[in-house]
Amino acid sequence: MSDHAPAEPKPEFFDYKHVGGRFLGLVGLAAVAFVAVLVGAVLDPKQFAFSYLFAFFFFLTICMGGLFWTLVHHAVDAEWSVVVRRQMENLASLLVVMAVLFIPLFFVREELWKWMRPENAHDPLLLEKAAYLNLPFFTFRVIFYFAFFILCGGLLRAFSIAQDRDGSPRYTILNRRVTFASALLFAVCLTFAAVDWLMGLDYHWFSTMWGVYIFAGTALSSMCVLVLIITALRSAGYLQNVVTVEHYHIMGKLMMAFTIFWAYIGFSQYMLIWYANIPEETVYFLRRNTGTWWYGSQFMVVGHFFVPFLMLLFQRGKKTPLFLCGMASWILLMHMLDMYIIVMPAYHKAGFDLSAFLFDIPCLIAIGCTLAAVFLKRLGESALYPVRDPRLPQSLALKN
Amino acid sequence: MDVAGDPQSKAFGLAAEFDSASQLFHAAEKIRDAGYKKFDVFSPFPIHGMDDAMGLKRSLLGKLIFFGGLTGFLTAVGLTFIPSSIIYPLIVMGKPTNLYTVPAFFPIIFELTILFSAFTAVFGMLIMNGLPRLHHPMFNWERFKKVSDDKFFCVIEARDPKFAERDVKDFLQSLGGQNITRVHGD
Amino acid sequence: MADASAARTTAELTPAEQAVIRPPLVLNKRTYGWIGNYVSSIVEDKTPIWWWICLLPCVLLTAVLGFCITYLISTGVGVWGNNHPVGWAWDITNFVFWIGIGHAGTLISAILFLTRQKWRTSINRAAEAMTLFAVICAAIYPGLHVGRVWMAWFLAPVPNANGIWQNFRSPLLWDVFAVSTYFTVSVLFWYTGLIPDLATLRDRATTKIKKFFYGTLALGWRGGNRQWRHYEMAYLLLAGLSTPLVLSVHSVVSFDFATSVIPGWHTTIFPPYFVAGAIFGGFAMVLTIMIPACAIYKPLHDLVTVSHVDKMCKVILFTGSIVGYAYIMELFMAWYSANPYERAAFWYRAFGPFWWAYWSMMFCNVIAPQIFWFKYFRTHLVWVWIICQFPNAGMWYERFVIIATTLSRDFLPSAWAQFHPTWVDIWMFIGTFGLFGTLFLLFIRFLPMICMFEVKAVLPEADPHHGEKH
Repeated sequence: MSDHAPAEPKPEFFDYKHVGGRFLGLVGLAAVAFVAVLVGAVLDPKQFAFSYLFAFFFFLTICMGGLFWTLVHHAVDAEWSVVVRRQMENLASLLVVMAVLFIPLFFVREELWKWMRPENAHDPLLLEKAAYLNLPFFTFRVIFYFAFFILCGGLLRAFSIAQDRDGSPRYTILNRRVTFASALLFAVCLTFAAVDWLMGLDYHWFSTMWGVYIFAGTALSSMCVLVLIITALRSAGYLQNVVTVEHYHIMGKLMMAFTIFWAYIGFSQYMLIWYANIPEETVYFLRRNTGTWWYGSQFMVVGHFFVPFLMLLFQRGKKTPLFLCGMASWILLMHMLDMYIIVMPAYHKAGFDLSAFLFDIPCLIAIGCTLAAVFLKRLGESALYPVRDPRLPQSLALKN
Repeated sequence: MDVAGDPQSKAFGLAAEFDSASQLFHAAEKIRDAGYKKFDVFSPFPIHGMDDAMGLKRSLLGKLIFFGGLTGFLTAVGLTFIPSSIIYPLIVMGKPTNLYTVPAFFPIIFELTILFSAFTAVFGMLIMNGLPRLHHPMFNWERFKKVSDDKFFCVIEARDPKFAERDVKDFLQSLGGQNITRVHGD
Repeated sequence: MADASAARTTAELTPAEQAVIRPPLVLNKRTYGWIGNYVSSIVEDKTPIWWWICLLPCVLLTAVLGFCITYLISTGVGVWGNNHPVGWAWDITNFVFWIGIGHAGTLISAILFLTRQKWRTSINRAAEAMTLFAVICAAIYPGLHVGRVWMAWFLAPVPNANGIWQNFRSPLLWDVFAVSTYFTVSVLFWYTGLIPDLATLRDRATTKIKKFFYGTLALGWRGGNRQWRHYEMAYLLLAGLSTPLVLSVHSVVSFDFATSVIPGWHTTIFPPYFVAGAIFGGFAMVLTIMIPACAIYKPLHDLVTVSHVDKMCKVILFTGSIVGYAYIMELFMAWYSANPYERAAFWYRAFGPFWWAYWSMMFCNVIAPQIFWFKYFRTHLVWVWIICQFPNAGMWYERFVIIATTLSRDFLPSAWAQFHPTWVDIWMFIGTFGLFGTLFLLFIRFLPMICMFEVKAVLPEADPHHGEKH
């Protein structure tokens, strides 16, 4: 009941004094990292290509996840998530940056996607797939995915911010329309982006589950990032009476749910391929379960599923923000490992290559710091939560 | 004061009737604050937040079920691995017989974990609630039949150390309780 | 803002404002007493004529089913149309069909409970009952398909005289575990939910037999908060357990196919796709049953409102779209794989002799539900009922397409054959509808088909802070 709601809190705006010089520090770090990456790209374009794709896709999943959770919020007309929705929208708005950051990949495309190389042009298998795997269509798809992501995320965020001004429920309805129009397209874009950029690393291999698998990691990782962002804002003094332990509880439950979902999808995909034992399919897991990749894959089973599952099983943890942040960071590390084991074995067949880290880390820093800087910019552009959303009172009064 | 059940037998407690969930809720808060321990409130449906109002802790069932699940898990691990890897290790469908065959056992391990957990949840609940128990002093009170319909009741039991009939009666009255009745066994 | 709009009457609001107001879950300001009285009266009143009229054909069909089963057991599985290469045909199709129907019940009772969708309260009881009856109908088929029914206990991991253990790596054995766990947990969940309502019926009972019957089943439930405390926890835990369980059951069913190497069967997306399809078909079946039930007991429209139906239609639309996504992924990957067998399998589905089944499936599951984009069709019950028949039929076609069509084209042309159902196939399938109907009619007659205590709990006055001003 809404009569339980606390007095309506004042709209909160982000004050840059909390970051101060750190903002410039981020920009500087990003710039330095980009220079390092550029040097790397000149020295070893192939290693750069793979490292960059890994870092790019890791962050892309987080941003796509922001869009996903915004869509879910509107699609199911949720109440609890109103207070955290602005941060999901901010995450989704970073997809513009991801579109720009895709450009380097285009230059090293032949290093990454073997089907683009002229020497493979006469592979009969490739000829069969040429209607899909050709450069003009590939380029069109890249543009289409990002155009969709930017348009959809932009509209949802713009309407949401517009509602801050006059509180008209019209915007809620508009956002719902945008959501219904784009839900299916989102699924398609996410799936085929995953097919094009990750599955395409080995154009022989295929799995119908691939899009769902990437989606599971997407939803999970961005929920973790959301927990971290909200906690950071709270520790800076914002959202104190807005986001309560009840919201953490729900976010914790969603982390738990998607940890299980990820395991379910991952297990199903692995088990079916392992069980049927068809060479054209097992090639993917064969490489990732041999050499030192084996240790990474094994560790992921424990670290990506069993550890968070047992840790998040009990209610107390989900209601302790600090604990939840620890779990969120852990899961993000595991998600990073997941992405790494998807991308890197396509190049380093034998196992982890230590010299690759010299490329991976600058790539992560370059993209991560750029996104963080833009995110800070986004934070200041609007109130920290949708202050006049019609469902806000219920969200504030949330009780599990 | 009304009397329900056989007045010769030992008194179970003093019960009162309330009209609404919110009345009952506030009554429970006051009974808790007055320091009574052996009391209960009855309602046709669970009332949100009543555990706090009564000063009850979270049900232990949630922790219990972990062990139920663990039992199921270990049972299933034994059930699949002992015959297929130890007693009669047989390679079927090219699958190994050692630990690495676990993906093929996983569905069974999962199902049994769930099954044992569910048994723990249901039977644990029944045991913790003392059910089945078809006879209870409260059932001797004719008005109590409405508890499963639209009325709310509370009872302060005679075994509560603070129980003193007159005080309790006045107390229940002050809370807005109606039809205050002394409930006996039969 | 909500406060500002609350001051005005509904008619003064703009359409957008009206659209964001949540409709009440129970209409006409019904009281606790009314809910208890009305729902119980369905069970307590004299048996209506329509009930007998409906029961008669259902019982007759159940008898036909009984006859077919007897004939099959006494003669052999050969009385079905299954034959090499189509070793799995209508029997497994019907098995998957029925078990899928059951999933909606668990979804409503468990997943919607965990996500705090309060609108589930008025439909969960009937949906869970439907789950149980559907699983019973489903279990008949693999039980008979083992051939020698009297040996069916070999499925259970009991050490036997031959010293033979089951093959725990076989998806078919996983099925045994999954389905029996699913049935057991569903019964527990259903019964746990029934206890407080059985207590209501016990307290209202007028005859000795009823008192004994409901009194025993209610286990002496008193409704004390010390009981509710554990009860609610148990219910929450059961919901939490049923959610992964329901995902696992249809996933395991899909493993029956997907672990094989048969083109069209071996595809990794099967598990989530089967689950989505199951929920899709199950919701359609819930609506198929609930709409007539509420039409007969008109006051139930205050509990199962148009907005409930509207939400369920949205679930159908959503899961139908997931199913559509899976169809497209299957087709795309079949082409993308560049595997000639894989491509041929899908070509054969769409343009082979079973093309009608494939396109019926496509139309019923992907295209027909799209009409639920329009609010008019989600809120007019006759339309809803008609449109729900498409998923009902479509999900059967889907399983038929996957099973019989795929098997009728093996790798080599020498192993190609058509499938033709026999009269036993057909009458057994129709007969299970009779069994399902009979069980459901008995359920309506003897147990409360709406979860009374949960509906009472979502009334505004059930909130302990109702009417308080801060």
